[in-house]
Amino acid sequence: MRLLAAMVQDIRFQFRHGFYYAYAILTILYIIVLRLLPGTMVYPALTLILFTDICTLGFFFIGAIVLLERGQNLTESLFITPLRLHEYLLAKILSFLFLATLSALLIMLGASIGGKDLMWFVFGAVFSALIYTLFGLIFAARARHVNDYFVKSLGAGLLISLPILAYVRLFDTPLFYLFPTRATLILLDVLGTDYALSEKLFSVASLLIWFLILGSWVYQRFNKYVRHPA
Amino acid sequence: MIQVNDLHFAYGSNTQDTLRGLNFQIDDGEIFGFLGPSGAGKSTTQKILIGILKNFRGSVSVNGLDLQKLNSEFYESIGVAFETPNLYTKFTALENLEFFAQFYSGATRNPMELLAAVGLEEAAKTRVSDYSKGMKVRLNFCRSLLNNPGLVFLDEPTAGLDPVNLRKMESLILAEKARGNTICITTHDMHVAETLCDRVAFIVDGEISLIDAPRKLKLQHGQRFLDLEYRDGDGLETTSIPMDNLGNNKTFQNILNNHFIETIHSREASLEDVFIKTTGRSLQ
Repeated sequence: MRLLAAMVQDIRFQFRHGFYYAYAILTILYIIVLRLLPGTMVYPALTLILFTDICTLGFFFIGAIVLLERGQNLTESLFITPLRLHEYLLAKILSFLFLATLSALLIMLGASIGGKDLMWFVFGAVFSALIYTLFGLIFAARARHVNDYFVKSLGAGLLISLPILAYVRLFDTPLFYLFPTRATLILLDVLGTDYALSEKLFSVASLLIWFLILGSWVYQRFNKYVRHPA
Repeated sequence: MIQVNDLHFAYGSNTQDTLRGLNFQIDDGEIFGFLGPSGAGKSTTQKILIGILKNFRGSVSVNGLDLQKLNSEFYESIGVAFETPNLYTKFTALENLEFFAQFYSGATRNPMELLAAVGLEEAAKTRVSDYSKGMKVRLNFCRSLLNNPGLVFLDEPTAGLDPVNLRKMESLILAEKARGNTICITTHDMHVAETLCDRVAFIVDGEISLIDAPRKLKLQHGQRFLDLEYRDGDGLETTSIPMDNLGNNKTFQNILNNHFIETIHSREASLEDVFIKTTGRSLQ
């Protein structure tokens, strides 16, 4: 009940702060681009667009949401109610996941894209959104204002996005398999490229492991810097 | 209800303690005030009592619960209004209260009735971003009472209120006390402390120098004299008369019987006088 209430409020909060409008405009823009591209370029473009849409935007937007909340001193008032920290975090993550997944699905539907590996793709999209949201939350926990957040998170954002160099065939190294971005790019690419089952399973496992590591890290940081700041 | 022994606290990596060995007890059903200038440690103390600040030294128990072992259930029975209003600015007052009410498992108060009590019923559907500072303070107060708390913490509850709403807020706080609730106020406003508090703690530089009832302090530190202003012909005269054995005081009887008295005051100390005398500091 508390989780549901917090999640619904987060969705309304994001709506009233214009996040849904921003996503609607970007989604329409992406659909138009995908429809204008020649057939052979649609799938690679879709992978890059969704990577940008789900991961990069998620990374920055979740930070903006948390900082908007902090600007209104809302975390103080939420944590003097029976709302638990994990409920607060889950509400934030699920509400943003809802927005990112909705946008991703609309892009696919709008560009009439589908395929036999849809389940892998959807898992990749959802968990990638989750992981980048968690990355954003790690930096948002201590940032005092938007500029502070961008400065602190930009370097880390660029670093974890390095495997995109392999995707566009500029540079590759086996070390990229340690990055969550590698798994994201594989799963978002399954509709247009044939990957071995082992590679898809590895990607799923990689995202799950990253999810557990980052989830616990976010909880600890919020508990220390937001729930009990001193 | 609240028992604090030898409470010490330092922020972050500060080597110097912000709170330095506080000892106090707040009884059930009383209004207890922390009176002190800005930066004295009032809000820090309150943040420890409501479980926001951890890593304190000493022992703190609230409703018999050791605050080192606090869990979220604790918040079912307390209400808090911070000095800085913390509300969803793009939501209406009613939406804010309805949202926060959903977190409590017990019965909650009717948001519209709370808003009406603080004179905000007509602004219930106005977004908080359009509220004045005083309106936000009143709405913040409503939020703190949503869950019908037995223990209410109010940080500078009258800051930014005009005289009419100040009086309304004071009577609402007294009404909460009348319901049997315990109220802990932090303030630098002597008038609030005098009017509302059963007992006050003077706090300066993280130390409590004195805890007592405002009335008792004012009498203890005052002088037993009456100051009078009266008419003598066309002139205005002033005099001071000892209050002891006043009924037999010839001067007093003469003034009473033969002169027009304009003002008459007993010379008890103001709480601010007592504060300055005790702590060597002013409240500003």
